[in-house]
Amino acid sequence: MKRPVRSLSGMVGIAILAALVLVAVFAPLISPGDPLAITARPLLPPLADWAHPLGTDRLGRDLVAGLVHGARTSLAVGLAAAVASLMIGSIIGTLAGFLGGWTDEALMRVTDAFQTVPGFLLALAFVSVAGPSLPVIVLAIALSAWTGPARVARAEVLSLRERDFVASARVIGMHPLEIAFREILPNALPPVLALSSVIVAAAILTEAALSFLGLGDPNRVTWGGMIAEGRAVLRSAPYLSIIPGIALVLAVLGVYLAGEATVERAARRVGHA
Amino acid sequence: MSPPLLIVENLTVSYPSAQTPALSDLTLNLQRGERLGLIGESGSGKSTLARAVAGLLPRGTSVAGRIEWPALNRPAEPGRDIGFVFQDAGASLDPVMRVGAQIAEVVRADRNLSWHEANKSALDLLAAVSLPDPATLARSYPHQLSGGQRQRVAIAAALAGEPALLLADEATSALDTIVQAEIAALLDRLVRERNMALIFITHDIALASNLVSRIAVLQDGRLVEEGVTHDVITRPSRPYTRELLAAHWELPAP
Amino acid sequence: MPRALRLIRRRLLTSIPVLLIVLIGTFLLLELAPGDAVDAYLVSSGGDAAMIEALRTRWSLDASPLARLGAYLWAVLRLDLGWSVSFSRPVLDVVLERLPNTLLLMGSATFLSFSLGSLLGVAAGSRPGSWRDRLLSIGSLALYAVPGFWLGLVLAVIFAVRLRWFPLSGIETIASGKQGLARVADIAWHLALPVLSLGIIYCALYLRMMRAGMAEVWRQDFTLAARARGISRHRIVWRHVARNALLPLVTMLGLQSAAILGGSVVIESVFSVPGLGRLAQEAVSSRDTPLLLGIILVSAVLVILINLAVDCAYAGLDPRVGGSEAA
Ligand SMILES: Nc1ncnc2c1ncn2[C@@H]1O[C@H](COP(=O)(O)OP(=O)(O)OP(=O)(O)O)[C@@H](O)[C@H]1O
Ligand SMILES: [Mg+2]
Repeated sequence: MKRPVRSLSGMVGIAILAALVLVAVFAPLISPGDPLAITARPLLPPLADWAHPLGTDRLGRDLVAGLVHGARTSLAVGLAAAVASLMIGSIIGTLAGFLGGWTDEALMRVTDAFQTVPGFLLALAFVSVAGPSLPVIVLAIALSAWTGPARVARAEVLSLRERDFVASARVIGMHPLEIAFREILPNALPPVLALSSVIVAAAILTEAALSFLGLGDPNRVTWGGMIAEGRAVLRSAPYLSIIPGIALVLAVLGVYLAGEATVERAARRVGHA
Repeated sequence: MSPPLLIVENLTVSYPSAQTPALSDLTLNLQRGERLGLIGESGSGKSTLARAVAGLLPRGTSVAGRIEWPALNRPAEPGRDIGFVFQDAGASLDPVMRVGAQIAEVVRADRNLSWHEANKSALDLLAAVSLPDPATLARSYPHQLSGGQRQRVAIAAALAGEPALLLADEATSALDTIVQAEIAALLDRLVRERNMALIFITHDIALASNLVSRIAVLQDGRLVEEGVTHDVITRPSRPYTRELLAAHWELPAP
Repeated sequence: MPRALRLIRRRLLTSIPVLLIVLIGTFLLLELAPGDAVDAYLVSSGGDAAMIEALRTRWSLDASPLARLGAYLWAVLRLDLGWSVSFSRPVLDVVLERLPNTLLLMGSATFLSFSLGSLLGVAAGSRPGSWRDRLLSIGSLALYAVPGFWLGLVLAVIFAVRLRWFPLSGIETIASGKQGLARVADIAWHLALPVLSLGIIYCALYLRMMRAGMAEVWRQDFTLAARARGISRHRIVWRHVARNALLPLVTMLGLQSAAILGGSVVIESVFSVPGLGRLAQEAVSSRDTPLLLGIILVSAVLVILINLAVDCAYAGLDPRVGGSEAA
């Protein structure tokens, strides 16, 4: 009874995500040229000129071009930050769970510390100190997002540590770190990966918020930056802020729905096996 | 003769996801105050029968046949007409509510009493199931009690509505032997004092034989044998029953 | 209640290393920042070479990194969080001045999201699989995807720009001279939109947790047992299922406090609420790193204190925590 709705929402999510990826990949073809270039009269409202279907901003930059190129930034940052935080998280979680003792204690206190500082403030501080460029932004987001994967990885490793295959790896004299990363980590990965859609979605939102506060990469179009741009003319041209926000909502929703569907399918497969 | 308390006629029950019915074409009667033992191997449908009688089958289960309550002249209501005691007493109590309140809420659901009166009656019930110091006990949470104490609390909750039928689904199997015997003796006394009918579901035939006057044997959802306890135990008519008896009494099967 | 005291002590003890790590982290960020405190100080007040040297020694900037860390920790221990260049005042003073506004915003938003979210969660979870349930879960998922600052802007466009029901920014009418209840009402009127934008986003989280928690509790035997005892459905839903499902939500309240504090940074910027978040943005734009790190430190302490309070509330709600205690 619940299945159809569920899989429908999963399909919607995958469709949104696929469309977004296509737009991001083919951005230079869909909207050639510099998206930051001034191409028309400023503050052209949407649907007034077919050359600029969604209108132009205060400086006369095309909104569609901004959206298309902004998709690149959002997706790239979202994915990169998620990969980085999953990697950091699973390495730290594996070390903590596998080595145990004082290492575990110390690593878990570090994890606690990162969870105690509001992630967004940390990202803000990091970007403001290190300067806004894409790699710094990615790292800043990862800094505040790796703790979840670390905890999951640690819990998983703790439950795997005493299994037979680990014992036999010990017997044949494998180096402990080799056991941790070649035998245990791959087995601990699935539940960690299940977090990825949530992390990608959160990363996209964090990037947007950073850009909104003026801490995005200044050489790139970002949706958050576009929304901030539009604020100056919120009374006369609210569409400038509202339209990029809709793109943001769709992107995050797509990631969530697609992720939920994937996790559910994986769970079903495990359930059947 | 007064009308029977419960009539089950041609009852067939199928769970939503199952191919074969969990109960098929089962017919059974129970008089007021009568005690029936229900035995059968695991998966034979004992709990299904108990849940069907108590109206507790999961949604989507298909039920055919009749369940009637001639002595009540109306459909039975859970709690008020049927008291249900589960196997796992710990799991059948809300972990974050004081046990006194859990009994009092049953009292209130079945009788129109104030909380104050309901609490008093909960203390009486705790005393009735032979729990020492009911006043202190009523204020504790389930995790603070022993397994036997929890099962007594669960029995008190089942009694709270003053039901005409007590359904005990393996109410003693999770307990150790000494406590089992105590709980069985308690049920025996309560059923006698309050003139309740009892359906006692168990794997322990020895325990059942001291408690019930009739035994019904279930196999794969069918009623395969039914009779007076003594007869079923000494002269089982079915090889299946004989095996059940042998398994539990360690008698050589003839 | 000794049980709660034990919990508090344990939480406080584990907080010490955590705070120490946070301090080391902020110290590292401070070191990473281009220029040092003296440069920043000179930008704001000017001075000659002799003064530079004097300041460098006084703030032990010429010492080894470890000695500098020691000096930093010692200063923080004396509640000296450094000097804010942009405000020309001690960091702690500036931060504490803005803290109440943020606490008010956070507290109200948390109250809104928790109460509304859990109520809607009960509505969805009381009949799993019903249309109401499906509608609410899809709606909450959509809400999950909405960035708070954008929601704030949309609400501002509708309710402040178009309808003019609420003010666009600020925390109270400037120089209105309002006192007592009138002032409270004025602040509430100003905070309505920020609280709404911040609260609604997190509402989705509590809704989904409540719903999932209730589904979990429905599967437990005691709900069936309660039905068997003739307890009304209404009472089972509220007193048993929702009551048990509430517990993880309370834990979440503590875990989310850091996130909602981060969220208020952006919301405060949108609505120009003079709180910690707005201050953080000001610190970033005026490159006032000591101020920014002071805000981080105070937030971390705040998060620890909130978690402490949540622990106590949890101990009150769940009799099983903190070891068994004789009845
Ligand atoms: N909720 C359910 N959904 C689907 N099938 C069920 C469900 N409950 C029980 N069954 C199936 O119905 C059959 C009868 O189960 P029931 O629980 O009545 O047996 P039982 O005699 O009580 O067994 P036990 O002695 O182990 O308690 C079994 O095959 C069981 O797998
Ligand atoms: Mg059973």
